[in-house]
Amino acid sequence: MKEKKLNIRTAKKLIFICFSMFLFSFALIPLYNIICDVTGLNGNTSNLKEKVEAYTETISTEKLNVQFISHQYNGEKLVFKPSEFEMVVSPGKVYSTVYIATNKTNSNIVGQAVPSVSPNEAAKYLKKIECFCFEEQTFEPGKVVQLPLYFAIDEKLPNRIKTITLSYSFFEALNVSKKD
Amino acid sequence: MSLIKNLIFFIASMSVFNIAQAGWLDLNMTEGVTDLSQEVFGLHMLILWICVVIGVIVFGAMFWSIAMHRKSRGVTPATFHESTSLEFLWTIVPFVILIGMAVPATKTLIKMYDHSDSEIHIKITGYQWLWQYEYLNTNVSFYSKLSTPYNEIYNKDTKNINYLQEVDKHLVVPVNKKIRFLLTSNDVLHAWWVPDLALKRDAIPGYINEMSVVINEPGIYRGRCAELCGRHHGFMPIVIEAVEEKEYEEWLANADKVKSSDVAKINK
Amino acid sequence: MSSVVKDEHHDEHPSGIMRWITTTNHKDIGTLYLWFAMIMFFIGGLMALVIRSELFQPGLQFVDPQFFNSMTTMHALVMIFGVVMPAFTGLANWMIPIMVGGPDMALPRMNNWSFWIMPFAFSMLLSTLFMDGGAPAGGWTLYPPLSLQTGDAFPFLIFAIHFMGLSSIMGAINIVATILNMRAPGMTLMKMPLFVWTWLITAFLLIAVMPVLAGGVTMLLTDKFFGTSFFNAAGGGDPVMFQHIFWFFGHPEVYILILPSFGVVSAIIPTFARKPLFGYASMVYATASIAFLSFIVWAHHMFTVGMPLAGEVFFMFATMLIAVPTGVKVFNWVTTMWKGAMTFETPMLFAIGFIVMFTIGGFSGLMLAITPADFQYHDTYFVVAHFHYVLVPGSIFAIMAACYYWLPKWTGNMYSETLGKTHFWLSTIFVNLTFFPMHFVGLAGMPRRIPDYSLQFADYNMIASIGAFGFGFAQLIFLYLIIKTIKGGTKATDQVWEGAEGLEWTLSSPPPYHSFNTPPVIK
Ligand SMILES: [Cu+2]
Repeated sequence: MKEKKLNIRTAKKLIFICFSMFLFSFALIPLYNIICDVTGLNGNTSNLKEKVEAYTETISTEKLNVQFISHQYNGEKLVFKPSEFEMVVSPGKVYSTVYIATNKTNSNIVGQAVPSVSPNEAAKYLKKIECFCFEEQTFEPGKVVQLPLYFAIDEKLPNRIKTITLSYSFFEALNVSKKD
Repeated sequence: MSLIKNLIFFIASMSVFNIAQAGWLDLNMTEGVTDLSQEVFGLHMLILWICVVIGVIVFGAMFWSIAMHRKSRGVTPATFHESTSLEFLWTIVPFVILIGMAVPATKTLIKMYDHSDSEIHIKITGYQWLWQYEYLNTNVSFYSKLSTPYNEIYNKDTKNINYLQEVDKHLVVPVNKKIRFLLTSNDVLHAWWVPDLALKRDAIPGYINEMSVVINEPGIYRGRCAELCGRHHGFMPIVIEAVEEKEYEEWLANADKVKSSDVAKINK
Repeated sequence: MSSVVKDEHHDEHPSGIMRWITTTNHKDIGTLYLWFAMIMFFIGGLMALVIRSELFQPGLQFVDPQFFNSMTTMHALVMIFGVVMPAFTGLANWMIPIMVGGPDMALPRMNNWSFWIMPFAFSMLLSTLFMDGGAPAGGWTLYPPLSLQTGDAFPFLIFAIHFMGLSSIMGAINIVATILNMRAPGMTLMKMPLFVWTWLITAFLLIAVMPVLAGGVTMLLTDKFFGTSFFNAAGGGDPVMFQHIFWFFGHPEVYILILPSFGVVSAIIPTFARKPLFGYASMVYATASIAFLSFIVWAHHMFTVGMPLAGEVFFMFATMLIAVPTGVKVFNWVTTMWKGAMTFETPMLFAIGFIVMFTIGGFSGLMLAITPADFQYHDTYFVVAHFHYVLVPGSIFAIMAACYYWLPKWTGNMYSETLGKTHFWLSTIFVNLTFFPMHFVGLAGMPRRIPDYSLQFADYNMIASIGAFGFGFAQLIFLYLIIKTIKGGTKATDQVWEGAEGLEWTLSSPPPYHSFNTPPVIK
C-alpha cells in the first residue's frame, strides 16, 4: 500500500507538469509578442503612439529609403494605396506621408490597417508618431480619403539596413475581432 | 523470389526504354543561374560528400564486422564494452566536422540576407491559387496563373513538355540587376519557390517577407508553390523570364500601356 | 493473443470481450495497444497507397485533389498517433514492468483508460472522412489559416487530437511512475535496460510537449469558432506563431517517435552479437542530450518563414549539434557488433536494417539542417524521403524487430524464421524502392503534398509507387506470421535467444499473468 501512495504521488507531480505545460502554451503568445517587440521577429510594429520629442534632437546624416506598399483583401470594393512609393529619409527626423483610400461600393466599409515591416529587424526602429492604423477606419461610399502617417526612423537603426518597406494590409471589420 | 526477379526485369526494361528522357537524369539539385544558387549547390555537394565518406567508413566497418565476426566462423565473442578514449574521439571528431560545415553555410546565409542596393522591387502576392506580381513604382501589375489545359490534366490530351509548369503571364525581369521581392498572401500560406534562383520564402497573410536575387543568365526558369495551400496547391506554378535589360525596359513600357485592360479574375 | 494468458488467475477474470474491456493487466493492455497499432498500420497504409496510386503517373486519375490532401493529412495523423506511438506504448506496457522486475504497471486502472480512449479518438478522426467538406486536408501540421478552412470535420479533428494527447499523457505518466517506483530492489537506474531508459526520457518528453499541442489546437478551435485572433493578422495575431507552438511540440515529438527504437536496437544487437552493449553510460547520456536539444531546435522546420538572420543561424547550429549524440549511438552499435559472434535471426536483421537506413535518414537530416541548402530542400520530396527513412525503416523496423524479438516470449511459440526473413528482405527492398527515389525528385524540384506533377518527375514517382505497393503487400506476411505464431508452433524456451540477457528471459514463455510477484534478485 505504501507503493500505491508513492505511485499516486508521482502521478500527481507529473499531472502538475502537464498542466503547467498546457498553461505555458498559452503563455507563449504574450511571450512571442514580447520577443517580437524586442527583436522584430515577425516585422510587426507597435500599434502605439511613440513620443515625438525623443526623435527630433539628433538628426543623423545617414540617408536611407523608406518604401510604402499596401494590400487590401477586397480590391474591388476598396482601393487602398500609398500616395508615394519611396522616400529618402534621415534617421531621427519626423516625416509624413499619406495613404489614399477610395470606397467603390454603396455602403460604409469599416476596417483596420495592419502594419508589417521588412526587413523584420527594422520593425522596432520605425517609430510611428501618428498613424491611421491606430484605430478603426470608416470609409463612406464613393469618397476618397487621405490617411496621414507621421513617422521617424530611430538613429539606432543598424547601418547595414538601407531600405525599409512598410506595408499595410487592410482588413474589413467583419474579419476584425479584437482580442481583449 | 520470382516476384523480385520480375520486378528487376521490369525496372531494367523501363530504364532502357526511357533513358533518353530527361527524367532519369534529374537526380540532383540544380546549380541554378545565380552566384548564390551556385554557392548553395556547392554547400549541398560538400555536405553530401562528407555524409558519403562518413557512411562508407561506418557502414564499411559494420559490414566487415558482419562478414568476419559471425558465429558460423567459430569466433569467440570479445567482452569489451567501453573505451573512454574511443568515445571521446567520436564525440570530438564529428563536432569538428560540423564546424567545418557551419562556417561556409553561415557565410552564404549572410549573403542571402543582404538585400541592399536592389534596383527593382516586385511585390508578389499569393492567392488560392495563383500569383500576383506588382512592379513597385510602376503601374504594372498582373496575375499569373496555370495555363495547362484541363484536358491535359484529366488525361484526355497528350501532356506537353511544360505540363503543370506553364502560366499565362511570365514574370519578366532583367539579368544582372538586383531584384528585391516582397512577398505576402491574400488568404492562406503559400511559398514562392524557383529552384534555379535558390529562392524560397513563405507568403504570409498580413505580413511581408523579402528576398533578393541577381540572375546571371537570360532564360525561362520554372518554379512552384511549395507550401500546402489547399485544393489546387499543385497547380500554381511560377514562370520567371530573365531578359537583357533593354528588352526588359521595352517589355515594361508595353506592359504599362496594356495594364488597364488586364483584369484577370481570380480562379476559384 | 488470447493464448498468451494461461494461468491460475484466468478464471477470476471476465472472459470474452469483457475481459479486454475491463482488463488492468499490463500484458493484456500491451497486447491491445499492439493490435490497435497493427490495425491502424493497415488503415494508414491504405491511405498511403491511395496517394501512391494517384502519383503513379502525371495527370489526375483516381481522386480529387481535395481528397488527396485529406489522404496525406490523415495518413500522417494515423501513422504517427495511431501506429508508432501506440506500438511503442504497447511494447512499454508489455516489457517495462518485466524489465524492472515489477508485478505490473504502477497505475493499472489508468492504464486501462489510456488504451480505451484511443479507439474512441480514432473513430472520431476517421469518421471525418464521411463528413461534409471532407476529412481534414490542411496537412497534419494544421497550419492556419488553411486548417481553418476545414469543414464540419474541424471540431472532430481537434477533439480527436485532444483525446490522443490525453491517452499518451496518461500512458507516459504510468510509465514514469512504473520506472521510478516499481523497480525490484537492486535495480538501480544505471542498471536498467536501455529500452527502459529511452522510454523514461520519451515519457518525460510526452508529458512536456503533448499539453503544448493541446494548447495550440485549442487556440485554433477558438480562432475558428469563438472569434479569437491568436493566429489571425487581422486581429493582431500571427499565423507563424502557430508554427512556433506546433514545432515546439513537433520536434520533441519526432524524438518521441524514435527514442524507444534506440532502446529496442540496443537490446537486440548485444543479444545476437553475444557481447555486451558498448558504451552503456554514453548511450544514456546521448539519449538525454538528444531529448534536451530537441527543445531548442524547433524552428528548423520553419527556415523559410522569414526569421531574422540570427534566428536562422542559431537554429542551424543547434540542429547540427544533434548529429553528435546521434552519431555516438550509431558508433556504439557498430562497436557492439565488432568482434562479437553474430547470428542473423530476423530481429537482428531488422535491427541492422534499422541502423543502416536510420543513418541514411540521419544524413539527410544533417543536410536539411544547413539553412541555405534547406531553402532548396524545404517542403520538397527530399524532406518526405528524409522523414520516411527515419520513420519507416527507422521506427517501424525497430517495432518489427521488437515484435520478432519478444514474440516467442509473449506467445510461448517460435515464429517461422523463413517467413520472418522473407518479410525482412521484401520490406527492405521495397522500402528503399519507395523512398530512395524521393530524394531525387525532391532535389529535382518536386514539392510535397501535390496530387499531380510535371513530366520530369514521372519516372521516379512510378518506381516509388511500385515500391509502396510491394512494401504494403509484404506486410501481409507479417500479419500472417503473427497470427500463425499465436495459434501455435514450436515451443519456445524461457531463454529463447542464446545471447539474451535481462529479466524477461528469466520468466517462463509465455510469462505468468503477474510478472514478478516476488521481486527478482538483481546481480
Ligand atoms: Cu500556394
